[in-house]
Amino acid sequence: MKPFTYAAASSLEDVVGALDEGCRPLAGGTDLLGLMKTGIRGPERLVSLKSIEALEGVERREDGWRIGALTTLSELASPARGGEQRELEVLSRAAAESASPQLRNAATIGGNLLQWPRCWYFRNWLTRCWLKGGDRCLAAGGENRYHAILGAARCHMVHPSDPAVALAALDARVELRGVHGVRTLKIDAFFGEPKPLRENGTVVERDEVITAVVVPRPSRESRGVYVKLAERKVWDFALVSAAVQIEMTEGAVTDAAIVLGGVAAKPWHAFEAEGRLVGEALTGTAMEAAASAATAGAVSLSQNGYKIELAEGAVREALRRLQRTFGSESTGVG
Amino acid sequence: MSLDWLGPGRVPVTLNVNGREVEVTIEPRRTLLSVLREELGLTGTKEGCDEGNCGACTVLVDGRTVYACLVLAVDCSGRCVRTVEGLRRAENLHPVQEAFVDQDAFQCGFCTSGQIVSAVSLLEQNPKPHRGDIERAMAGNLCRCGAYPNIVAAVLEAARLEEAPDAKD
Amino acid sequence: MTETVGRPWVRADARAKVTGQAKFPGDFGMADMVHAKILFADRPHARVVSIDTSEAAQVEGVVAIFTAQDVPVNEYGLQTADQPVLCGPGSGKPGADVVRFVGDQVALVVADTRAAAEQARGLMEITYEDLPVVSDPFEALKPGAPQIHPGREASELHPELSTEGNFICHHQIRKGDMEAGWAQADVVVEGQYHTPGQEHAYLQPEAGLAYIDDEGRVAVVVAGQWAWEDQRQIAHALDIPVEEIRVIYPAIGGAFGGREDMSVQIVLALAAYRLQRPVKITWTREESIRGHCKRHPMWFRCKWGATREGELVAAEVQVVADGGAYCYTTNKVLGNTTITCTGPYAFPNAKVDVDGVYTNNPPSGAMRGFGAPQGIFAAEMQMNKLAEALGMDPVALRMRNLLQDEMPTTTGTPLAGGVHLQEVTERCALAAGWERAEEGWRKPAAKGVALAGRPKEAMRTGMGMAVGFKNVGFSFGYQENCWLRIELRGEDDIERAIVTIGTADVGQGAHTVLQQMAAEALQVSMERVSLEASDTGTSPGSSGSASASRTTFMAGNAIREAAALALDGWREGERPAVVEHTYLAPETTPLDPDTGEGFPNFAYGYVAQVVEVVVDVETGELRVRRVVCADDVGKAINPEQVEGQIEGGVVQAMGWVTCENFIAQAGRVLTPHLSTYLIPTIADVPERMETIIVEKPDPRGPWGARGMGEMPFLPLAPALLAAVHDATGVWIDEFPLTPERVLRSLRDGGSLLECDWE
Repeated sequence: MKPFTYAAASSLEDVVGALDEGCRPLAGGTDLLGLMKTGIRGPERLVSLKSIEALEGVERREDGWRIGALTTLSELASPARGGEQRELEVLSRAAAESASPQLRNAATIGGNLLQWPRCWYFRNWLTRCWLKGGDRCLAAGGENRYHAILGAARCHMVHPSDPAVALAALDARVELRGVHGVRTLKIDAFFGEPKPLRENGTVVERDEVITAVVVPRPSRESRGVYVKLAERKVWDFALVSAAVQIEMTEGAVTDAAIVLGGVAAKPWHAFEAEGRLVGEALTGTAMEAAASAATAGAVSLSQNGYKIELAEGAVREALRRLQRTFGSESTGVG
Repeated sequence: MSLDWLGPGRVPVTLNVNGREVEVTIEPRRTLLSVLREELGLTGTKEGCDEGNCGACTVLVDGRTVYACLVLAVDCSGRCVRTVEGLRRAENLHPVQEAFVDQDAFQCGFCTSGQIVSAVSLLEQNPKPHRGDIERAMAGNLCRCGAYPNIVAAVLEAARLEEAPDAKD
Repeated sequence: MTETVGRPWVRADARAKVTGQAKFPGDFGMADMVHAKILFADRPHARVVSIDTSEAAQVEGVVAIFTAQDVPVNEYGLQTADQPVLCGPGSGKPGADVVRFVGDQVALVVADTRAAAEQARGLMEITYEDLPVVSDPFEALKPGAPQIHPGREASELHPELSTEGNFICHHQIRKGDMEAGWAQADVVVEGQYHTPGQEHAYLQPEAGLAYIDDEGRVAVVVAGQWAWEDQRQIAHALDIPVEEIRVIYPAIGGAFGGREDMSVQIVLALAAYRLQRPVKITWTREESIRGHCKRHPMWFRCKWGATREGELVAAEVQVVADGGAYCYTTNKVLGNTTITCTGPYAFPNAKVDVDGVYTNNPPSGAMRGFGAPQGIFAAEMQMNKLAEALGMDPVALRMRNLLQDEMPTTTGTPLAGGVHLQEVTERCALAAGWERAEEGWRKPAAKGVALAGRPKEAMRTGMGMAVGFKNVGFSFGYQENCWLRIELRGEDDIERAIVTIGTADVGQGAHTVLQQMAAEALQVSMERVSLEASDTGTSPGSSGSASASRTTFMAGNAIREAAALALDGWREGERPAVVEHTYLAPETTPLDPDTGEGFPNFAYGYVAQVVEVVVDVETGELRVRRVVCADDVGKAINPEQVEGQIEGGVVQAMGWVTCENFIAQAGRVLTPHLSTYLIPTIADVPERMETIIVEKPDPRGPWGARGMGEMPFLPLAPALLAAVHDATGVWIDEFPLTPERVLRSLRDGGSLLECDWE
C-alpha cells in the first residue's frame, strides 16, 4: 500500500473542503483498503468520516426514512426496529444477504453505493481494461459469466451492491454534499453510465460525499421482498437478484417496482415487467407475464446467457413470496 | 476548524487492546492486523488473505466483529480492540475456547482464533443460538479443513456452558 | 493395557490453537530480521531477456536483490528437477531463462521492511520476450504446438517420464482381450467426463523465516509436508551439504497436498545463507493462488461393457491430464488415476491410456486423493450409467462386480491388505435406506420436499451412490519408508518416552495419533510420551511425506517396530534405551510400461457414499440434504479425528463439485482471491452428515489401521452427480455445478463435452 496522510474529520465542512483527486473519504474501508493494497487505488490523503455525527443514524420522519451515510449494513439488517421495520423490509433483507457479518459490521451504506466494480479484469492489477483507461472491455471477448446482460455498451461490469437494488425499488434518493452545496439524486441518476476512470460508475464529483440516503415511506399497502441467487449459499455477490416492492389496493396492484441486481452496471428497473403488473391481481398469469418481461432487451455475451433465465426466476420467486405475504395478511394468517 | 493531518511517516497512536492502553508509533497506512501482529506481538490473530475474504483475522472492535486486515490501526484510536489473546478469564479458557477443544472444532487451527472471536461475539448478542443463527453468525469465517459440523457443535456447547457452567459432563 | 489407541484423545496442540498461542510460519520474528518479496513472472510463457535491478536497489532499506545468476544450482522438483528456482539469464542451467507460468519466480527482493521490499519489487525492470502460450492440453499435443520443456533428458529414476513433445508421462494398461470382451457385452456405455482443477486454499498462505542457527546451519521455518525432502532440495539448489540445511515445521495451517512441492523454501534459504541474517517472507493470498500448484484437471473418454446380467466384461478408458508448467508429482498422481479409472471392479479385459501434458497453466500437483478422485469420478459415473442402462439397482450392480480378496485388478494382482468394498457399500446403502429384499437391492423411494415455499414442481429430489478406493503411500515401486528414534528414560519404570520423527502434522492430527500409538506400543500413559517432530535438525532420517494417506500406516508401523526394539533394550537394562529405526513397507513394483501389470501398492482404503440432493430446476441451485459415508479405516486410532477427516473430506469435495471454480484464461489466473475462488462456508455443508466408521483391520497396518485421510473425498462427486440425475433425469458429466452449468445441462439434456481427442 502506498503511504498516505490521514486525518479524522469531525465536521462535514472539513471533509468537503479537503476532498479532491488525491484526497478521498474513508468510512468502513472494506472496499477502499482492498483496492489500495493491490495498488489499483493510491490516494495521497484519506479523511476518516467515522467521527462525524451528522452522518450517523436512521431516522423515521413524516415523509420518509433518512439513513445516515455511515449506517452500517449490520444496522440496516438488524431486526430490532419493531413494526416499522416492515417499511424497509426489502432493504433489510438485501443488507442481511450482503457479504459476511464482519463486513456488514464495518461496511457503510454510503460506501456500499460507492464500491468499485468486482469485474475480475478490473480488479486484476495486471490488466488494463476499458474502465481503467485501456482500449477495450476484456470481458466482452473473454471470461464473462458474471457480467452484464442489460444496458452494457463499452463496459460489461455489473454493480455488486445488494442494498442499491433494494434502494432503487424503494425509490430512494442519495443526498450528496459538495463545495457547491447539497443535491439529491434518484438511484438511477446517481449511477451514470460507466466511464473510463470514473471507476465506481456513479456521478459523484470528487468534492462530494454521500451524507444520507432518503427513502420515501412506502404506503401501508406496500410490501417488498429481496431474492438473491448466488453460487455460494452465503458471502457471495449476486449472480442475479431481484428487489420487488408492490402496493396492493383491493386485490389489485396499484404500484410496482421491480429492480434487478447483478445484470447491469446499476440497479436495473424492469419497467416492462412493472407495467405488466399494475392493475392486475397477483395471479399466476400476471406474475408469469411480469417475470418474462423482466429481462426485455437483454443481450448476452458468450457465457452469461443463463442470467436471463435466472433473472426471470428471481422475479417469479419474489412475486410468489409477495403473493403469499398479501394472501396471508388478507386472510389474517401469519 | 481544520484537519489535523497525520503521516505519511510514523505517528503515535494510542489503542486499547484487550483492556490495556498501548501506544504504538506507526504509519497511517498500517492495518490493525499488521499492528497487532508486528508491533504488539499478538500473532493469535492470523493473516489468511489480508483482503477481507477469509475471516482468520477476526477481532472485536467496540464489541463488533471486524476483519482486522480491512481496518486502519489509526482509525481505531480510542476504540476497544479485543483479540483471541484477550478472551481468557483469569487462568481459565473462555467457555467458547473450552468447547472448541472439547468438540474438536478445528484441524489445522489457522482459522480457529477468528472462529472463536466470532462465536464469542455471537453468544454475547444471542446467548441461546439455534443452528441457523450459528450459520449466519459464523458465515464470515472460512475453515478449509471443513471442521464446520464440529464448530456448530462447539458453539452450542459453549452456550450451554455459559448458561450453566457446571453442566459439562 | 493402557488402551490409548482407539480413544478420542484431545489433540496435543488443542490448547495452543484455541488461545492463539500456536505459532505458524508467519508468526515468527527475530531481531535483525529482514523481509523478502518475490517478483513473480505474471506472464505465462516468456524468455527473460534482461533484469535491471538498479532502480529497485536505490529504494531506501533495500538489502539485496537475488536473481537467477545467484542460484548455484538453479533447478528443483520433487520428481524431476524441471523448475528453475529463479527464472532468468546467467545461471548456467539450460532453459532457466524461460518463465512457463504466471507463478514462476524471477527475483527475490530483500529489505528492512515488507513495504520497502514491495516498493523495490515494483521498480524492477524486466525485459521479457513473450513466447507463444499453450493452455489447452489437447492443443499442446498437436504438432507445431509451443514446446514447454524442449530438449529435456530421460529420468533413470522415473522411466514413465517422457522426453517427447509436451508429454510429461504416460501410463497404460493392456489386460485380456478387448475384442472378446466387447463380443460378450450386451450393453455398452460410453461417456466423456471432465474434472476441474482445484485450489488447495489452505488458510495459511505460504510463509517462512530462514536464519543461521546456533550450529551455523541455514534453518528454514516453513510449512511443508516432507521436511527431509525439502532439506534435500534446498541443499541441492544451494550446492551445500544437506547437513548444513535444517528444515523446521511449526504449526502448519493446512496442506492437502499443496505443500508437497516447495514454494518459499529455497529462496529464503538462499537469502539467509548469503546475507547471514534472518529473512522472513509471507505470501499474499493472491501470490499463493497464482504461485502454487493445483489439482490436475482431467478429461476422460470411457467405454464400458457388461452382460445383460450385469457382469462387467470390458473397459476402455483414455485420460488426458493437464500437468501445467512443471512435472511436480504428475507421474505419481496419474499412476493412481490409472488404477482407479476403471473403478474398484474386476474387469477381465481392460485398456487404459493416461497422458500427463505440459501446458503454460499453473502446475498441477498433489491434492487430497492424488489422482484418485478424478479416476473414481469417471468410473463411478460409468457405473451409475450402466446400472441405468441395465435397469439394475446401482447397489446390486456394484455388489456383483466389486473386487474381493484375491481377485486381480486391472494390474493383474489383487488389492493388498484385505478388500472390504462390499462391506462399505452394504453398510452405506443400508444406512441410507436401501432395502435388501429377496429379489435384490431396492433403493428407497424419493421423498418430496417442502422448502421455504418454493413451488414443488421446481424442487426435484434425488439420491445417488458411489464407491471409492485408494492406495496408501506413494509406492509404484518406490520403497516406502519411515525413520524414527525412540528414547526411553527412567530407572525402574519408563518415566519418559521421547519419540523423534520427521512426520508433519498438517492439521490432520498426526502428532496426537503418533503419541497415542507410541503410548500403546510402549505401554505407558500418554503423559509420558513426548514427541519431537518435524525438525531435520533432530530427525536426520526421512519419515516420509504427510500425504497419500500414509502417515498413520507408516509411522504407526515404525513406532511398533522401534518400540519393540527399545523395550528389548530396556529389559536388558539399557538406560536410556535408544533405538533409531527405519520401517520399510512391503515391496511394490512399478506398472509394466506395456501391460500395466504389477503390484503397485501395499495397502488400500475403501469408502462408499450416498448423497441426497434437492435441485431447484428454476434457479439451478443445489441443496445437499444428506451425505452418508461408510469408510473402512481398518482401525480408528482416534475416532474423533477420523470423524473430523471424514467430514472435512466431504466438505472439501463438496466445494470441488459445487462452488469452487478455478479459472485461468490463456494461463492467466482470473480467480486469485477467495472472493472469486469460493470455498465452502459453514452454510454450504450438507444438512446432515452420517459417518459410519468401518473397522476391518489391515493385517499389516498398525493395530489394523489403514490410511484414511483422502478416502472420504473420493466418491462424493459421482454420488452427487448421480443424485442430480436421479432428481432431474439428466447426466451432467462435468462440474462445478454452478447454477449456470445446471441450467444449461437441464436445457441441453446433459453435458455437451467437446474434446479434441486424437
